[in-house]
Amino acid sequence: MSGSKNNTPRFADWFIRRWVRDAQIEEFLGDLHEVHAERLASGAKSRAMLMYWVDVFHLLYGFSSFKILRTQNHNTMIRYNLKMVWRNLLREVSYSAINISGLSIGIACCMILALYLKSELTYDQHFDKHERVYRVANRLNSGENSNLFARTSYALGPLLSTASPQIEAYVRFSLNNRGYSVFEYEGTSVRWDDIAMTDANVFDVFSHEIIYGNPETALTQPKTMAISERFAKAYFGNENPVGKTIKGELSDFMITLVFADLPDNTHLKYDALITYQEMSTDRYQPVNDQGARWSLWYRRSDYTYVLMPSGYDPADFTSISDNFFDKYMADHPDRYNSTVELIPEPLEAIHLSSRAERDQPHGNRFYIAGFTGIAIFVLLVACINYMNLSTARFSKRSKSIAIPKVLGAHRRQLIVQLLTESLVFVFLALLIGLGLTFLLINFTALNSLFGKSLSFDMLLEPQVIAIVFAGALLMSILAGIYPALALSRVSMIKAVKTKNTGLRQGLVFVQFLVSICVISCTLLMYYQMKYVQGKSLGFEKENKLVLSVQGATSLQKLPAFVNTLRQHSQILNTTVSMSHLGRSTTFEQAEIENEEGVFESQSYNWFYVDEDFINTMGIELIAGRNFDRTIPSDANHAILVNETLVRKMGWKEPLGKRLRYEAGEEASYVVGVLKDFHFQGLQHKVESMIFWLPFEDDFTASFWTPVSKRLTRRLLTINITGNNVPETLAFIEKEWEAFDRDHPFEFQFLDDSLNRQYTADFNQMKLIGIFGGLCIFISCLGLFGLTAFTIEQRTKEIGIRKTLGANSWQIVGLLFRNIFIIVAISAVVASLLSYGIMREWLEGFHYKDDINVFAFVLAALASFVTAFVTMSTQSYKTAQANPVKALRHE
Amino acid sequence: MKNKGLGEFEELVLLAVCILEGEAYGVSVKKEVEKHSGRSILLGAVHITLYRLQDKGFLQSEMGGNSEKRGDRRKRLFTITDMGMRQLKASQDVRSKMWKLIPGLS
Repeated sequence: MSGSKNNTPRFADWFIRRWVRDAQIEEFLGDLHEVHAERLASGAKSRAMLMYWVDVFHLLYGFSSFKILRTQNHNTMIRYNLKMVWRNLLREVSYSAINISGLSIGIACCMILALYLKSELTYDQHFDKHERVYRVANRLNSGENSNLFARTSYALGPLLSTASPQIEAYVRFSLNNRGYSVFEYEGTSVRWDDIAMTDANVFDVFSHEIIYGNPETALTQPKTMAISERFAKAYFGNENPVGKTIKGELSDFMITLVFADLPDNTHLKYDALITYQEMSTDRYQPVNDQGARWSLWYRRSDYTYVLMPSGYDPADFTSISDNFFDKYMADHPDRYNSTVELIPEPLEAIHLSSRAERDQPHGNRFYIAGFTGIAIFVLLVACINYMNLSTARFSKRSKSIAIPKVLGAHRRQLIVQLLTESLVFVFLALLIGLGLTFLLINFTALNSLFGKSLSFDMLLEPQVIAIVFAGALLMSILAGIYPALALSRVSMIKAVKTKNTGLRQGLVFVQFLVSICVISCTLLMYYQMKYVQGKSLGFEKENKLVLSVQGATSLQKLPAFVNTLRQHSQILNTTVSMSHLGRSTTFEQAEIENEEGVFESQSYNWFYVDEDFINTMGIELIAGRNFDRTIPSDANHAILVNETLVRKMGWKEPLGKRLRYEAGEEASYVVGVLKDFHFQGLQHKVESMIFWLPFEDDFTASFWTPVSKRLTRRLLTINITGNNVPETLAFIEKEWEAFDRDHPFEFQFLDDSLNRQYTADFNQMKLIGIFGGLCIFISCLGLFGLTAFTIEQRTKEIGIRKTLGANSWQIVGLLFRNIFIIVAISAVVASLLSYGIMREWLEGFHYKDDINVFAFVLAALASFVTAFVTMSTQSYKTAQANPVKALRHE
Repeated sequence: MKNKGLGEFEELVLLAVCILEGEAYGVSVKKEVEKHSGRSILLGAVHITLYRLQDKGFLQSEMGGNSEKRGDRRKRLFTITDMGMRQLKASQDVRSKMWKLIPGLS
């Protein structure tokens, strides 16, 4: 009665009533409630509940009337049972091996995928304030175009936090400034890719593990720098580098802090942070002036993060965004009717949810879902097989189970014996599985396929261990309980015989469904990858060497250098451009004349390319002419456009169409149209592009500061013949050393760097392929079990058929018929399923191959063959045997 | 009978029953042992021990003393038997004898 008053878990009380002797129920419940009431009074409710359950189980353990848990002579029984397990294991070595290996592979797969998923799903959660930090992305809407950019203007953070008091702090990161990439200390010179400039409060908003130095003052002074442990090790070994000065390309920096290397699962990676004060003052502390307002529209250089109060609802950010737009951006003269929205992206969601352009590489939800599915299925399938095989195994042993029973063993002794066996097997499999996981992680290329540094240590957390052990326990009970109960019945022969094969066949169906699905998906992914790599990009990516030329002194000598190179017989052509195609596209808006001669606002990507560009890259000019330096107006007013822009504008005659930034200025005009080419990965569609002839760099002009002179950079693309490449490279290197002594000779082949865009997809494909193979393997184990079981049951039937004149292959056919039907049905369902999945995956590519039906046929065929081989080897043996033996069976 | 011996926890429980003098039941014994030993003990462990001691003949019990807090359920009150008292004394003797034999501790 007072049970409900006391809020004790009723279910637990029921347990006690059900399984404890009547004489003791009253006192136990009394004691339990008394203790519970005190726990409730003194502390947390959940803890009291938990402890109540613990007490209940403890009492059940001690006083249960459910006798399985209590055998009188514990030690002897345990020893006897273990001995039996061991003997059985040895007697059927191959069976045991198959059984255990299937399960351990399943466990290993699951562990590895769990590690991967854990890393993917906990991105950026190591920052203490991760729940309150948002990255401000900005969406530019102009006409039909809408682009979401991860990077924003340097002025956004300061202006936004002034305008919106809710924002507690802002931090900017400016990445990829190549001028900061080489650092030198006492003769050690190392190039670093990930150097960022950031605000001084970075360590307040993003918690770092600090090794040396004071995070509050670290970046408050000019020329200061905080470095990672890895960075510190490269120059200073294990010494404390705080206070030392390191030489950068731009200036010397004093090291003020060392932080522990960032974990793998953080979206913004950096090895060193430089104080933002290195930026010019108008960038460091922008005020609400013309420059800052202009930058809000046209500069996308920095990542801006804001710290919001706890419990902040990101939906409220709309008002902040609207206010900001009205206050700082709406009245800009060059806005061309565009609008900008600020979008808050929760820190921990950036990796998987952000769709922003110009960002660090994002994660892919498709793979997360895929791997989760595979992990669950592999384990499930392994468990199912384990149960199947054990049941088959146990029923083969019905005699050795019957004899103890005839000799007077209790039913529970048999149950305990079978459960012990199951327990030993599962834990053996668990150990092997863990060992396998360890080996795979530490000694194979798995980590590079995942693109992560997974570590086995992640599994050694107490909660994980607890879950794994609980899971193993549950699994051994699940796998053992059915055969244990069935076989220990009075008439066990009957019990074994009436087992429903429907369930078993259902399980085989599921296994093949998953396997065929995974295999056909892998094949289709492979086709798409082939397609992507083989598809014509609209330009020739082979035999292109890309060099980066940096610094005004070098750039002034560049024409001479290019001339020398062109003398060489193996060098066909060269072109100088401002940026990599495919990287850092520049987006802008202007007014473009439409077919009716009316100027309308448009946005497009633009590039500076010289007159050699289309020849060097092999891009087709479909109308008009190339740039021509001999025509004076070309330098400022000639543009080339691509087909997409022509289509977008609806031009019938594109040549001569005009473009201007504002009414009244002298317009530029289209001189030529280029055939579309894919400068980005085939995930993206071709966007409208405009090309300008670059200005001649006049480094004497006043706007060139010493810093910008040193940092300015051009790309030199060299088209070589492909004959005698090493000799050509040696020649270029030799010339380079005479040309620029400050920078090492570094080059990339264009096709390599383009293919790198698909590396992640390729690796995922390989992984899915590997897991697909495992799926098939485990399914075959299941099939093996099923066949063993069927044969066991139909031994007599086989014997009779043989005596009546059936030959071995007819019998194999008889046994295979059922399986054939199951596999056929699962092949059809799997094909439909993977068709759906792959359509979804291909959505990620703008240019995609057709779904090839051949993949489904191939996958189904492969499963048929493996199924047949597995089955026939086993059943053929039985079918070959002397029928007399079969008839004497049982 | 003589050599049944007492485990450490059994001894603590037995002592707690003596201290509580007729008021010893699951919860009170648990608290008493926790109070003196300074460690936290599961109710089930106390019950199991109490029953084991009763089986060994060191304790006897009867039902009695219900209270509102327990939902009007009675408690099982344990008292020590003569044999239990003897066993407790015996183990005390063994200890003190041995303590005396430790050199440099007198």
